Amino acid sequence: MDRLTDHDAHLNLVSKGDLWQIRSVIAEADRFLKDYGLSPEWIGDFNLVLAEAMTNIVRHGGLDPGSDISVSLSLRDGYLNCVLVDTGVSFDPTTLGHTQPEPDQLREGGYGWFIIRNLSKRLQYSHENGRNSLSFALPLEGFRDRLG
Amino acid sequence: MQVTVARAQNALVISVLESRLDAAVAISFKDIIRDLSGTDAGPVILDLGQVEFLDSSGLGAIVGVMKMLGPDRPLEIAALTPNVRKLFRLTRMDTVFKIHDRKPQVETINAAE
Repeated sequence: MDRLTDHDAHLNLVSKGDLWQIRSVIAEADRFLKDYGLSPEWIGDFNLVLAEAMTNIVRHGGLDPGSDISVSLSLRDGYLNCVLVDTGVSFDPTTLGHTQPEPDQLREGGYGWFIIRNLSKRLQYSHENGRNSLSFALPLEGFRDRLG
Repeated sequence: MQVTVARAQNALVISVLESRLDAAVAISFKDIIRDLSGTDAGPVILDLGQVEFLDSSGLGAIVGVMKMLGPDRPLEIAALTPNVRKLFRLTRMDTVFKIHDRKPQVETINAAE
């Protein structure tokens, strides 16, 4: 597919730090991206990156019960940009996920950042005023060849 | 977490009746497979034909089940949907598991929850 709606689009969502709640945020993001005209395969990749990033915040972020993760999606200039903000403990994923876990080691974890790095671009993290901000982008279909 | 259990010759076939095998259900998935897989030797075939989404937690749980079953009950995977197949390829877990294109023909079916 190389024809998409070419307008900019934005969606802001909020989730509690809970594995069931992040499912509903991901489902809402899925509907938004489907309406925009993206394919199930493309949405599947984004769905996976978002799930890995949010699961990581829930599992390791030490969020206070009741505190939120905010999710901002923005489609423009050939990319979907996604920003996740939370108030949990700071963590820096800069060194994580650069090498692929060896399949023969039969590890039960440690694939998350590898998956995020493989399926997304422009991965950035910052911590300011008690807030973690993690952002990543996926090139939209039809722009992929041009923008790499 | 809903699954069905059936026999196909010497193999036990466990079908996962969930569209998502992710962090929210990974632990209950491991528990239910442990409870249902019994002790008979022979392959255990995990039918993922209904699963449209698998994340690293779900994948880790599948690896955990494989280790739990041990060498006498090799875990095999069947009927991968496109996004799930992609994750197996990306993590090269498709080199670890025997993967069947389709769910095998089964004899009897029991539902479990």
